[in-house]
Amino acid sequence: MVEDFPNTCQKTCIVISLRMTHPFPSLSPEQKRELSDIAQRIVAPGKGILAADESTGTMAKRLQKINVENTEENRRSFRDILFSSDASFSNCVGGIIFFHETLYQKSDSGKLFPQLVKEKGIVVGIKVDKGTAGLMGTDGETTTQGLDGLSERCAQYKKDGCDFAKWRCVLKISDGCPSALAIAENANVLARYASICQQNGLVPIVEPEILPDGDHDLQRCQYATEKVLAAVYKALSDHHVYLEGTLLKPNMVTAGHSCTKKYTPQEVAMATVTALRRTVPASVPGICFLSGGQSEEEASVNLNAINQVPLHRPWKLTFSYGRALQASALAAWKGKAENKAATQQTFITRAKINGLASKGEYKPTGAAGQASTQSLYTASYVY
Amino acid sequence: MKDFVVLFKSSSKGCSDNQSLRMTHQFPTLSEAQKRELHETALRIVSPGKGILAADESVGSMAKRLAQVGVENTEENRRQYRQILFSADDRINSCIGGVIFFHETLYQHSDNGVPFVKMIRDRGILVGVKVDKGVVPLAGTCGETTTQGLDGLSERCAQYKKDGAVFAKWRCVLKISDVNPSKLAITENANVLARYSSICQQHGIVPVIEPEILPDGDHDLKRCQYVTEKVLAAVYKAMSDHHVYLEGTLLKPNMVTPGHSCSTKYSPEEVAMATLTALRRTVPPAVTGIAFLSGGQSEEEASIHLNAINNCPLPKPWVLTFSFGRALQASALRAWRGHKENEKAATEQFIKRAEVNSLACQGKYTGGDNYGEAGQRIYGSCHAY
Repeated sequence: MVEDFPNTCQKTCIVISLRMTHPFPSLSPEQKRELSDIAQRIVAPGKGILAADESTGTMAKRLQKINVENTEENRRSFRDILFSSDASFSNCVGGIIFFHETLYQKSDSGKLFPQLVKEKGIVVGIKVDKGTAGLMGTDGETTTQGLDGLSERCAQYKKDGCDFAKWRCVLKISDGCPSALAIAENANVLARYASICQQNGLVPIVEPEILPDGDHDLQRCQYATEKVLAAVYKALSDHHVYLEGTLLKPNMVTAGHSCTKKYTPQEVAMATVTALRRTVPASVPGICFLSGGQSEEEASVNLNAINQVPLHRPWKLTFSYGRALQASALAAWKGKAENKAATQQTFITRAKINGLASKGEYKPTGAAGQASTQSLYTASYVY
Repeated sequence: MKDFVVLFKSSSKGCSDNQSLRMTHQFPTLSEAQKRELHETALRIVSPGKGILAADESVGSMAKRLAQVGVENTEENRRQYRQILFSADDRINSCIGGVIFFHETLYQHSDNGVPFVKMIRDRGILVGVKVDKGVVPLAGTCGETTTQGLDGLSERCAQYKKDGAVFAKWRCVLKISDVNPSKLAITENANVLARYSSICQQHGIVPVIEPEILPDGDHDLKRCQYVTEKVLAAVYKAMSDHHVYLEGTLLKPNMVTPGHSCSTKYSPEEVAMATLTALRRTVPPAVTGIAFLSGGQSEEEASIHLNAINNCPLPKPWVLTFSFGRALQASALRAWRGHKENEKAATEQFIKRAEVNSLACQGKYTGGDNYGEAGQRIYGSCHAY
């Protein structure tokens, strides 16, 4: 009876006793194991995620910066260069997030990209949200759409080689933001997305990005991040999401872009880890930071500092970087085939640096060693 | 807008001088020094090898305990009994980090006129006090309750702090049945626990948060785990909403066990896996320690379970220790039976249990009648939980 029970909710409970066992379990032990294994593979020690899921519109902006036309071929070509890099980059990249179009494109060698990537032992992921939509009655806040038919799309993506998905919600800080509605609505939609993904064998990456726009200080960002993440994990509990089979993709806790006060990587790291310790359950296997508006080096140095914080960190703390992994590579490419090797080299260099940063072992040339930077961490009571 | 800013500044203690309208940490609740004090107190209570003696039985609860050993429930007998516990020798100093007092006991003395509070504090053990005022029914539910005691709690906490207490305890009660716990019971109890916590912290008192799910019923282990996860998720959301400083709190939950009348038997390892899984899914790593209640478990059962929990192969970001009442005192009570000549023997019984639980909270307890041979215990796959 207990074995029958998990498989479906339509099958009315056979148990004669009115006492429910685990009311309407959402996943079988096998499904849980699969999701948990996928998540562990993505955030294996020293590894992080390459976010190569820029939409067509976003790619327009990236390519325009290097004066390259935003054609499907150019987009394919650039992704091809990255994915065909020397297999050693799979030592630092555990997963790659694809945009829908890219999932069905092929390498110059004729191989479909998902296959190319999987052969290197890297897990394939897919962006599944459909962008933000306005929340009436708020100060320009949004929710994210994409739930319609999501279950069927997930099932198809799983067949087409994906094992994880990504969905981005966006919040902002200002006098009146984030509002209670924005927090609750985005947390809820993230939980619905996560629940649907897991039913289809995809590990959901949960991304509640708080934008760095504004002149708020570090404390304000920490406060907002704690409130947002508390709401996210309450929603995940309410929606019966299996946390061991999820990943979190949050912002680091940083001051706003126009904040006049400057903070050290250690301060950013302490505020970030403190916020996460107060909100993210230990059963979440990994936290993969987005880079937001940070430069490549900033993103690596901050990630490194995060992995050196003298507080207990029960989850992996790694990267899920887009621009912070690709900016230099794009600049090296300039749309020219003859720059392929240089592009790949630049990309691999950045990937390796972030791999080290995810273990707290990155030593930028000229930077002090770990022992001397430890003293720069102030006590957590300040946060 | 200017008036608003001025009004805000004067009404908020210690508000930032920041001229910008952008709030820094909105209405910070505690200063750096206050946070440090709370965190360090919490750490001391759950230092390695230590747990909590819950000696806070109300007058009504003591009536039941004393009746079982044929002793009259007088204030003097209650004082005598607590004296038996508090006069334990230095062996308990490395096993007990804190003692929870009932209000009456906080102001009682030993035969020699030494205040109990002083006896405890002098050996480096921290003094706590039960501050709730018992359960009251929630109308419209199937026998569910919330807990009262918020009225004047701030003033009471200030007084308790003066009188030597550095931590407090508040017990909420939930139960499992076809229809319970209801959404109302979960949210109402989570809310009142958060209010209590917030008030305590303002007075430098570490709140021990106790959302007990009773073991009554015939539900199985999975059901208890499911309910425990829902209850704890609600508790920590409420803590966040009420701006409680988690590093300066302790949690006192039930272990995840089957109901008393459940026909399936589970091994200590299964209890441990279910318990640790539920906690890992809900209790933020910032919480300093988790000190389990013993509920209806026997002394040995509670120790064996605590030991299994500490040996469970899942990573544990918080200390996992005990906050036992009956599971530390049952044998002592039975040995005493109200007779002065039994006092030393009774104290020995208590010391013995304290030492056993000190080992158990480090995963080092190898003894026990029904435990069988020591050695590798099978914990099984975590994916079944």
